[in-house]
Amino acid sequence: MLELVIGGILFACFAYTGMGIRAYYRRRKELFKQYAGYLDYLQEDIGFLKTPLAESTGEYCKGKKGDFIKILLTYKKMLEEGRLDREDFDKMLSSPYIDKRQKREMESVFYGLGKVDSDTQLENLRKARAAAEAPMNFYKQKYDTTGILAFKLGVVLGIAAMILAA
Amino acid sequence: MLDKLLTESIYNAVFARVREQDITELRLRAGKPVSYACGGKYHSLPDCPVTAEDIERVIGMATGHSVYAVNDSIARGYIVCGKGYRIGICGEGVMKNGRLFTIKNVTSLCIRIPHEVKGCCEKLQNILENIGNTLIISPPGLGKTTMLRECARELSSRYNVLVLDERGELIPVHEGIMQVETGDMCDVACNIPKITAYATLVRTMRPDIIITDEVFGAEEVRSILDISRCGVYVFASLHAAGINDIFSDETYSPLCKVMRYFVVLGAIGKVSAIYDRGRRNA
Repeated sequence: MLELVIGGILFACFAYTGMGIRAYYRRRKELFKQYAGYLDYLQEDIGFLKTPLAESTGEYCKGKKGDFIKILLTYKKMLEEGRLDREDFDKMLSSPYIDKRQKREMESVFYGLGKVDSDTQLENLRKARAAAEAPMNFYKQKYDTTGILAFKLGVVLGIAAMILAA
Repeated sequence: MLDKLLTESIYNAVFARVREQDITELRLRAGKPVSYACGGKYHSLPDCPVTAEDIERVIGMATGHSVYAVNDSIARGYIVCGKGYRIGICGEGVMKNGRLFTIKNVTSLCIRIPHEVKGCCEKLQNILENIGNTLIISPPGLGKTTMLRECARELSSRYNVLVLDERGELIPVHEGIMQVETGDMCDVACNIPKITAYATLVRTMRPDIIITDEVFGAEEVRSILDISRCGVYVFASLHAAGINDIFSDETYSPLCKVMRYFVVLGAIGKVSAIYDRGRRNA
Protein backbone atom coordinates (compact mmCIF):
# COMPACT_ATOMS: atom_id res chain seq x y z
CA MET A 1 0.00 0.00 0.00
CA LEU A 2 2.84 2.33 1.02
CA GLU A 3 4.64 1.60 -2.26
CA LEU A 4 1.54 2.57 -4.17
CA VAL A 5 1.26 5.86 -2.32
CA ILE A 6 5.00 6.64 -2.86
CA GLY A 7 4.61 5.67 -6.53
CA GLY A 8 1.65 8.01 -6.85
CA ILE A 9 3.52 10.88 -5.19
CA LEU A 10 6.55 10.34 -7.46
CA PHE A 11 4.30 10.28 -10.51
CA ALA A 12 2.63 13.48 -9.45
CA CYS A 13 6.02 15.18 -8.83
CA PHE A 14 7.44 14.25 -12.22
CA ALA A 15 4.26 15.04 -14.10
CA TYR A 16 3.87 18.35 -12.29
CA THR A 17 7.48 19.32 -13.10
CA GLY A 18 6.85 18.49 -16.75
CA MET A 19 3.68 20.55 -16.71
CA GLY A 20 5.55 23.42 -15.05
CA ILE A 21 8.21 23.45 -17.75
CA ARG A 22 5.55 23.33 -20.45
CA ALA A 23 3.62 26.16 -18.78
CA TYR A 24 6.81 28.24 -18.59
CA TYR A 25 7.35 27.98 -22.35
CA ARG A 26 3.65 28.50 -23.03
CA ARG A 27 3.60 31.71 -21.03
CA ARG A 28 6.71 32.99 -22.78
CA LYS A 29 5.18 32.13 -26.15
CA GLU A 30 1.92 33.85 -25.21
CA LEU A 31 3.73 36.92 -23.91
CA PHE A 32 5.61 37.53 -27.14
CA LYS A 33 2.57 36.69 -29.23
CA GLN A 34 0.56 39.32 -27.34
CA TYR A 35 3.43 41.79 -27.58
CA ALA A 36 3.50 41.40 -31.36
CA GLY A 37 -0.30 41.65 -31.43
CA TYR A 38 -0.17 44.85 -29.43
CA LEU A 39 2.32 46.39 -31.85
CA ASP A 40 0.05 45.41 -34.76
CA TYR A 41 -2.94 46.89 -33.00
CA LEU A 42 -1.13 50.15 -32.30
CA GLN A 43 -0.07 50.46 -35.92
CA GLU A 44 -3.67 50.20 -37.04
CA ASP A 45 -5.07 52.42 -34.34
CA ILE A 46 -2.46 55.15 -34.66
CA GLY A 47 -2.36 55.01 -38.44
CA PHE A 48 -6.10 55.41 -38.83
CA LEU A 49 -7.64 57.00 -35.75
CA LYS A 50 -4.60 58.42 -33.92
CA THR A 51 -6.09 57.17 -30.67
CA PRO A 52 -4.10 58.19 -27.59
CA LEU A 53 -1.99 55.43 -26.06
CA ALA A 54 -3.90 54.88 -22.82
CA GLU A 55 -7.18 54.48 -24.67
CA SER A 56 -5.66 52.27 -27.32
CA THR A 57 -3.91 50.10 -24.72
CA GLY A 58 -7.12 49.75 -22.71
CA GLU A 59 -9.00 48.69 -25.83
CA TYR A 60 -6.39 46.08 -26.70
CA CYS A 61 -6.51 44.59 -23.19
CA LYS A 62 -10.29 44.23 -23.16
CA GLY A 63 -11.29 40.59 -22.68
CA LYS A 64 -7.70 39.35 -22.76
CA LYS A 65 -5.64 37.67 -20.05
CA GLY A 66 -1.98 36.87 -19.62
CA ASP A 67 1.37 38.13 -18.42
CA PHE A 68 1.75 40.74 -21.15
CA ILE A 69 -1.76 42.04 -20.52
CA LYS A 70 -0.75 42.61 -16.87
CA ILE A 71 2.25 44.58 -18.15
CA LEU A 72 0.01 46.62 -20.43
CA LEU A 73 -2.45 47.39 -17.66
CA THR A 74 0.46 48.69 -15.57
CA TYR A 75 1.58 50.74 -18.58
CA LYS A 76 -1.91 52.21 -18.95
CA LYS A 77 -1.90 53.21 -15.31
CA MET A 78 1.56 54.77 -15.72
CA LEU A 79 0.32 56.77 -18.70
CA GLU A 80 -2.64 58.06 -16.75
CA GLU A 81 -0.47 59.03 -13.80
CA GLY A 82 2.36 60.43 -15.91
CA ARG A 83 4.99 58.11 -14.38
CA LEU A 84 7.14 57.33 -17.39
CA ASP A 85 10.74 57.33 -16.23
CA ARG A 86 13.23 54.64 -17.20
CA GLU A 87 12.95 53.13 -13.70
CA ASP A 88 9.18 52.86 -14.07
CA PHE A 89 9.59 50.93 -17.32
CA ASP A 90 12.26 48.76 -15.74
CA LYS A 91 9.86 47.80 -12.96
CA MET A 92 6.97 47.38 -15.38
CA LEU A 93 8.86 44.89 -17.54
CA SER A 94 10.27 42.83 -14.68
CA SER A 95 9.01 39.38 -15.51
CA PRO A 96 10.58 35.92 -15.33
CA TYR A 97 9.39 35.42 -18.91
CA ILE A 98 11.43 38.29 -20.38
CA ASP A 99 15.20 38.01 -20.43
CA LYS A 100 17.57 40.97 -20.06
CA ARG A 101 18.19 41.67 -23.73
CA GLN A 102 14.51 41.47 -24.64
CA LYS A 103 13.67 43.63 -21.66
CA ARG A 104 16.06 46.32 -22.92
CA GLU A 105 14.50 46.19 -26.38
CA MET A 106 10.95 46.34 -25.06
CA GLU A 107 11.88 49.12 -22.68
CA SER A 108 13.14 51.28 -25.52
CA VAL A 109 9.97 50.57 -27.53
CA PHE A 110 7.69 51.58 -24.66
CA TYR A 111 9.86 54.54 -23.71
CA GLY A 112 9.68 55.85 -27.28
CA LEU A 113 5.91 55.48 -27.64
CA GLY A 114 3.92 58.68 -27.98
CA LYS A 115 6.87 61.02 -28.19
CA VAL A 116 6.86 61.65 -31.92
CA ASP A 117 4.52 62.50 -34.81
CA SER A 118 2.40 59.76 -36.36
CA ASP A 119 4.61 59.04 -39.38
CA THR A 120 7.70 58.54 -37.24
CA GLN A 121 5.67 56.62 -34.67
CA LEU A 122 4.35 54.22 -37.29
CA GLU A 123 7.83 53.70 -38.69
CA ASN A 124 9.17 52.96 -35.20
CA LEU A 125 6.30 50.54 -34.57
CA ARG A 126 6.98 48.73 -37.82
CA LYS A 127 10.62 48.26 -36.80
CA ALA A 128 9.63 47.09 -33.32
CA ARG A 129 7.14 44.64 -34.82
CA ALA A 130 9.77 43.23 -37.14
CA ALA A 131 12.14 42.81 -34.19
CA ALA A 132 9.41 41.05 -32.16
CA GLU A 133 9.00 38.41 -34.85
CA ALA A 134 12.19 36.53 -33.93
CA PRO A 135 11.50 35.95 -30.19
CA MET A 136 7.85 35.19 -30.97
CA ASN A 137 8.80 32.43 -33.40
CA PHE A 138 11.64 31.23 -31.19
CA TYR A 139 9.39 30.74 -28.14
CA LYS A 140 6.65 29.19 -30.22
CA GLN A 141 9.14 26.65 -31.47
CA LYS A 142 10.55 26.20 -27.96
CA TYR A 143 7.07 25.48 -26.66
CA ASP A 144 6.28 23.06 -29.47
CA THR A 145 9.51 21.13 -28.90
CA THR A 146 11.02 21.57 -25.42
CA GLY A 147 7.79 22.43 -23.63
CA ILE A 148 5.76 19.52 -24.98
CA LEU A 149 8.72 17.18 -24.67
CA ALA A 150 9.28 18.15 -21.03
CA PHE A 151 5.66 17.40 -20.26
CA LYS A 152 5.73 14.03 -21.97
CA LEU A 153 9.03 13.20 -20.32
CA GLY A 154 7.63 14.16 -16.92
CA VAL A 155 4.66 11.84 -17.42
CA VAL A 156 6.84 8.96 -18.66
CA LEU A 157 9.35 9.39 -15.81
CA GLY A 158 6.49 9.57 -13.37
CA ILE A 159 5.05 6.30 -14.64
CA ALA A 160 8.51 4.70 -14.55
CA ALA A 161 9.07 5.88 -11.00
CA MET A 162 5.66 4.59 -9.99
CA ILE A 163 6.41 1.18 -11.49
CA LEU A 164 9.82 1.06 -9.82
CA ALA A 165 8.37 2.07 -6.48
CA ALA A 166 5.66 -0.55 -6.75
CA MET B 1 -7.00 69.05 -14.10
CA LEU B 2 -4.10 71.36 -13.23
CA ASP B 3 -2.96 69.02 -10.46
CA LYS B 4 -2.39 66.39 -13.15
CA LEU B 5 -0.86 68.74 -15.71
CA LEU B 6 1.67 70.48 -13.50
CA THR B 7 4.56 69.08 -11.52
CA GLU B 8 3.97 69.03 -7.79
CA SER B 9 6.43 71.85 -7.07
CA ILE B 10 4.75 74.29 -9.47
CA TYR B 11 1.25 73.29 -8.47
CA ASN B 12 2.00 73.77 -4.78
CA ALA B 13 3.82 77.06 -5.35
CA VAL B 14 0.98 78.57 -7.38
CA PHE B 15 -1.98 77.28 -5.45
CA ALA B 16 -0.54 78.18 -2.09
CA ARG B 17 -1.17 81.76 -3.21
CA VAL B 18 -4.32 81.61 -5.29
CA ARG B 19 -7.41 79.46 -5.74
CA GLU B 20 -7.69 77.41 -8.91
CA GLN B 21 -11.03 78.95 -9.87
CA ASP B 22 -9.56 82.48 -9.72
CA ILE B 23 -6.77 81.88 -12.17
CA THR B 24 -7.27 82.57 -15.88
CA GLU B 25 -3.85 81.92 -17.32
CA LEU B 26 -0.62 80.25 -16.34
CA ARG B 27 2.68 80.83 -18.10
CA LEU B 28 5.67 78.52 -17.98
CA ARG B 29 8.91 79.67 -19.58
CA ALA B 30 11.98 77.47 -19.27
CA GLY B 31 14.46 78.99 -16.83
CA LYS B 32 12.09 81.80 -15.83
CA PRO B 33 9.72 82.09 -12.90
CA VAL B 34 6.17 80.76 -13.19
CA SER B 35 3.61 83.48 -13.68
CA TYR B 36 -0.15 83.45 -13.54
CA ALA B 37 -2.98 85.81 -14.38
CA CYS B 38 -5.63 86.47 -11.80
CA GLY B 39 -8.22 89.23 -11.99
CA GLY B 40 -6.58 90.61 -15.13
CA LYS B 41 -3.15 91.04 -13.50
CA TYR B 42 -0.02 88.95 -13.89
CA HIS B 43 1.83 87.69 -10.84
CA SER B 44 5.28 86.15 -10.93
CA LEU B 45 6.79 83.60 -8.55
CA PRO B 46 10.56 84.25 -8.49
CA ASP B 47 11.13 81.38 -6.09
CA CYS B 48 9.64 78.92 -8.55
CA PRO B 49 11.69 78.70 -11.76
CA VAL B 50 10.42 76.48 -14.54
CA THR B 51 12.57 73.58 -15.74
CA ALA B 52 12.53 71.70 -19.04
CA GLU B 53 11.06 68.72 -17.15
CA ASP B 54 8.15 70.86 -15.97
CA ILE B 55 7.34 71.76 -19.57
CA GLU B 56 7.78 68.18 -20.73
CA ARG B 57 5.40 67.01 -18.00
CA VAL B 58 2.68 69.44 -19.12
CA ILE B 59 3.01 68.41 -22.76
CA GLY B 60 3.04 64.73 -21.82
CA MET B 61 -0.05 64.94 -19.67
CA ALA B 62 -1.90 67.26 -22.07
CA THR B 63 -1.33 64.94 -25.01
CA GLY B 64 -1.98 61.76 -23.03
CA HIS B 65 1.68 60.94 -23.80
CA SER B 66 0.60 60.58 -27.41
CA VAL B 67 2.13 63.43 -29.39
CA TYR B 68 1.14 61.74 -32.66
CA ALA B 69 -2.53 62.18 -31.72
CA VAL B 70 -2.28 65.98 -31.58
CA ASN B 71 0.58 66.77 -33.90
CA ASP B 72 -1.63 68.76 -36.28
CA SER B 73 -2.72 70.89 -33.39
CA ILE B 74 0.87 71.32 -32.18
CA ALA B 75 1.77 72.50 -35.67
CA ARG B 76 -0.90 75.19 -35.25
CA GLY B 77 0.75 76.21 -31.99
CA TYR B 78 -1.48 74.79 -29.29
CA ILE B 79 -2.86 71.71 -27.57
CA VAL B 80 -6.30 71.49 -26.04
CA CYS B 81 -6.92 69.16 -23.13
CA GLY B 82 -9.45 68.40 -20.44
CA LYS B 83 -12.40 70.75 -20.20
CA GLY B 84 -11.12 73.15 -22.82
CA TYR B 85 -7.72 74.05 -21.38
CA ARG B 86 -5.85 75.58 -24.29
CA ILE B 87 -2.08 75.38 -24.07
CA GLY B 88 -0.18 77.68 -26.40
CA ILE B 89 3.21 76.29 -27.36
CA CYS B 90 6.33 78.17 -28.31
CA GLY B 91 9.59 76.54 -29.31
CA GLU B 92 11.62 75.47 -32.32
CA GLY B 93 9.61 74.91 -35.49
CA VAL B 94 10.22 71.90 -37.72
CA MET B 95 9.34 72.49 -41.36
CA LYS B 96 8.29 69.78 -43.81
CA ASN B 97 7.35 70.44 -47.45
CA GLY B 98 7.36 74.16 -46.79
CA ARG B 99 4.93 74.14 -43.88
CA LEU B 100 5.28 73.97 -40.13
CA PHE B 101 5.19 70.27 -39.30
CA THR B 102 5.71 70.31 -35.56
CA ILE B 103 7.31 72.24 -32.71
CA LYS B 104 10.22 70.75 -30.80
CA ASN B 105 12.36 71.93 -27.88
CA VAL B 106 9.41 73.76 -26.39
CA THR B 107 10.50 76.71 -24.28
CA SER B 108 7.25 78.40 -23.32
CA LEU B 109 3.71 77.37 -22.53
CA CYS B 110 0.67 79.56 -22.03
CA ILE B 111 -2.08 77.60 -20.29
CA ARG B 112 -5.45 79.28 -20.60
CA ILE B 113 -7.97 78.07 -18.08
CA PRO B 114 -11.59 78.11 -19.26
CA HIS B 115 -14.40 79.24 -17.03
CA GLU B 116 -18.10 78.70 -17.22
CA VAL B 117 -19.67 81.95 -16.05
CA LYS B 118 -23.38 81.38 -15.96
CA GLY B 119 -25.29 84.60 -16.34
CA CYS B 120 -22.47 86.47 -18.06
CA CYS B 121 -24.86 87.05 -20.97
CA GLU B 122 -27.34 89.06 -18.93
CA LYS B 123 -26.61 92.17 -20.97
CA LEU B 124 -27.23 90.23 -24.16
CA GLN B 125 -30.79 89.23 -23.26
CA ASN B 126 -32.23 91.46 -25.96
CA ILE B 127 -30.00 89.80 -28.55
CA LEU B 128 -30.88 86.31 -27.34
CA GLU B 129 -34.58 87.12 -27.58
CA ASN B 130 -34.49 88.95 -30.93
CA ILE B 131 -31.72 86.98 -32.51
CA GLY B 132 -29.60 88.30 -35.32
CA ASN B 133 -26.02 87.84 -36.49
CA THR B 134 -23.81 88.86 -33.60
CA LEU B 135 -20.13 89.68 -33.38
CA ILE B 136 -18.41 89.85 -29.99
CA ILE B 137 -15.35 92.06 -30.13
CA SER B 138 -12.46 92.54 -27.73
CA PRO B 139 -8.71 92.21 -27.43
CA PRO B 140 -7.54 88.72 -26.29
CA GLY B 141 -8.30 87.54 -22.78
CA LEU B 142 -11.44 89.54 -21.98
CA GLY B 143 -13.93 86.68 -22.08
CA LYS B 144 -15.24 86.42 -25.64
CA THR B 145 -15.10 82.63 -25.56
CA THR B 146 -16.79 82.46 -22.16
CA MET B 147 -19.56 84.70 -23.45
CA LEU B 148 -20.04 82.66 -26.63
CA ARG B 149 -20.14 79.48 -24.54
CA GLU B 150 -22.92 80.99 -22.45
CA CYS B 151 -24.76 82.11 -25.60
CA ALA B 152 -24.50 78.52 -26.89
CA ARG B 153 -25.93 77.21 -23.62
CA GLU B 154 -28.86 79.64 -23.62
CA LEU B 155 -29.70 79.45 -27.31
CA SER B 156 -29.44 75.69 -27.66
CA SER B 157 -32.43 75.18 -25.42
CA ARG B 158 -34.61 76.85 -28.07
CA TYR B 159 -32.77 76.58 -31.39
CA ASN B 160 -30.67 74.03 -33.24
CA VAL B 161 -27.24 75.40 -32.48
CA LEU B 162 -24.14 74.21 -34.26
CA VAL B 163 -20.89 75.09 -32.51
CA LEU B 164 -17.88 75.14 -34.81
CA ASP B 165 -15.06 74.62 -32.38
CA GLU B 166 -11.90 74.20 -34.38
CA ARG B 167 -9.65 74.46 -31.32
CA GLY B 168 -11.82 72.47 -28.93
CA GLU B 169 -12.09 75.16 -26.29
CA LEU B 170 -15.56 76.61 -26.84
CA ILE B 171 -17.51 73.45 -26.01
CA PRO B 172 -14.81 70.92 -25.16
CA VAL B 173 -15.70 67.34 -26.02
CA HIS B 174 -14.01 64.33 -24.47
CA GLU B 175 -14.68 60.85 -25.85
CA GLY B 176 -17.84 62.09 -27.50
CA ILE B 177 -19.27 63.77 -24.38
CA MET B 178 -19.61 67.55 -24.10
CA GLN B 179 -17.71 68.73 -21.06
CA VAL B 180 -19.76 71.84 -20.34
CA GLU B 181 -23.47 72.33 -19.86
CA THR B 182 -25.41 72.99 -23.06
CA GLY B 183 -29.05 72.97 -24.11
CA ASP B 184 -30.66 69.89 -25.62
CA MET B 185 -30.32 71.16 -29.19
CA CYS B 186 -26.58 71.71 -29.35
CA ASP B 187 -24.26 70.04 -31.88
CA VAL B 188 -20.51 70.47 -31.67
CA ALA B 189 -18.05 70.04 -34.52
CA CYS B 190 -14.67 70.00 -32.88
CA ASN B 191 -11.19 69.89 -34.39
CA ILE B 192 -12.63 70.31 -37.88
CA PRO B 193 -11.16 73.16 -39.92
CA LYS B 194 -13.81 75.88 -39.87
CA ILE B 195 -13.89 76.46 -43.59
CA THR B 196 -14.61 72.76 -44.17
CA ALA B 197 -17.23 72.79 -41.43
CA TYR B 198 -19.01 75.85 -42.87
CA ALA B 199 -19.18 74.22 -46.27
CA THR B 200 -20.47 70.83 -45.17
CA LEU B 201 -22.23 70.99 -41.83
CA VAL B 202 -24.67 73.74 -42.75
CA ARG B 203 -26.23 71.32 -45.20
CA THR B 204 -25.91 68.15 -43.17
CA MET B 205 -26.83 69.43 -39.70
CA ARG B 206 -29.26 72.16 -40.80
CA PRO B 207 -28.61 74.52 -37.87
CA ASP B 208 -30.63 77.61 -36.99
CA ILE B 209 -27.60 79.26 -35.46
CA ILE B 210 -23.86 78.75 -35.87
CA ILE B 211 -21.59 79.77 -33.03
CA THR B 212 -17.88 80.07 -33.65
CA ASP B 213 -14.89 81.63 -31.97
CA GLU B 214 -12.15 83.91 -33.28
CA VAL B 215 -12.98 84.68 -36.89
CA PHE B 216 -9.72 84.87 -38.76
CA GLY B 217 -8.92 85.81 -42.34
CA ALA B 218 -10.73 86.65 -45.55
CA GLU B 219 -11.69 83.07 -46.33
CA GLU B 220 -13.66 82.72 -43.11
CA VAL B 221 -15.29 86.12 -43.62
CA ARG B 222 -16.47 84.91 -47.05
CA SER B 223 -17.85 81.74 -45.46
CA ILE B 224 -19.79 83.78 -42.90
CA LEU B 225 -21.27 85.94 -45.67
CA ASP B 226 -22.38 82.75 -47.43
CA ILE B 227 -23.88 81.28 -44.28
CA SER B 228 -25.83 84.47 -43.59
CA ARG B 229 -27.20 84.40 -47.10
CA CYS B 230 -28.51 80.90 -46.38
CA GLY B 231 -30.59 82.26 -43.49
CA VAL B 232 -28.52 80.77 -40.71
CA TYR B 233 -27.66 83.15 -37.87
CA VAL B 234 -24.04 83.47 -36.88
CA PHE B 235 -22.66 84.28 -33.43
CA ALA B 236 -18.94 84.85 -33.65
CA SER B 237 -16.07 86.60 -31.92
CA LEU B 238 -13.24 88.65 -33.31
CA HIS B 239 -10.03 90.11 -31.92
CA ALA B 240 -10.27 93.89 -32.19
CA ALA B 241 -10.14 96.84 -29.85
CA GLY B 242 -13.44 98.35 -31.02
CA ILE B 243 -16.05 98.49 -33.75
CA ASN B 244 -14.11 101.10 -35.74
CA ASP B 245 -11.24 98.65 -36.18
CA ILE B 246 -13.62 96.39 -38.06
CA PHE B 247 -15.28 99.06 -40.19
CA SER B 248 -11.88 100.32 -41.29
CA ASP B 249 -10.33 96.92 -41.94
CA GLU B 250 -10.37 95.72 -45.53
CA THR B 251 -10.60 92.04 -44.56
CA TYR B 252 -13.26 92.29 -41.87
CA SER B 253 -15.37 95.24 -42.99
CA PRO B 254 -17.61 92.97 -45.18
CA LEU B 255 -18.87 91.46 -41.91
CA CYS B 256 -20.51 94.79 -41.11
CA LYS B 257 -22.97 94.20 -43.96
CA VAL B 258 -24.34 91.02 -42.40
CA MET B 259 -23.85 91.51 -38.66
CA ARG B 260 -26.76 93.01 -36.80
CA TYR B 261 -25.27 93.21 -33.33
CA PHE B 262 -21.76 94.18 -32.27
CA VAL B 263 -20.93 93.49 -28.63
CA VAL B 264 -17.76 95.19 -27.40
CA LEU B 265 -16.06 93.95 -24.22
CA GLY B 266 -14.12 96.58 -22.31
CA ALA B 267 -12.81 94.56 -19.38
CA ILE B 268 -12.89 90.90 -18.39
CA GLY B 269 -16.48 89.76 -18.89
CA LYS B 270 -17.77 93.35 -18.99
CA VAL B 271 -19.83 94.56 -21.94
CA SER B 272 -18.84 98.14 -22.70
CA ALA B 273 -21.12 98.69 -25.70
CA ILE B 274 -23.73 96.96 -27.82
CA TYR B 275 -24.48 98.22 -31.32
CA ASP B 276 -27.65 97.25 -33.18
CA ARG B 277 -27.23 97.81 -36.92
CA GLY B 278 -24.44 100.29 -36.21
CA ARG B 279 -26.44 102.20 -33.62
CA ARG B 280 -25.19 102.13 -30.07
CA ASN B 281 -27.76 100.62 -27.70
CA ALA B 282 -25.87 100.27 -24.42
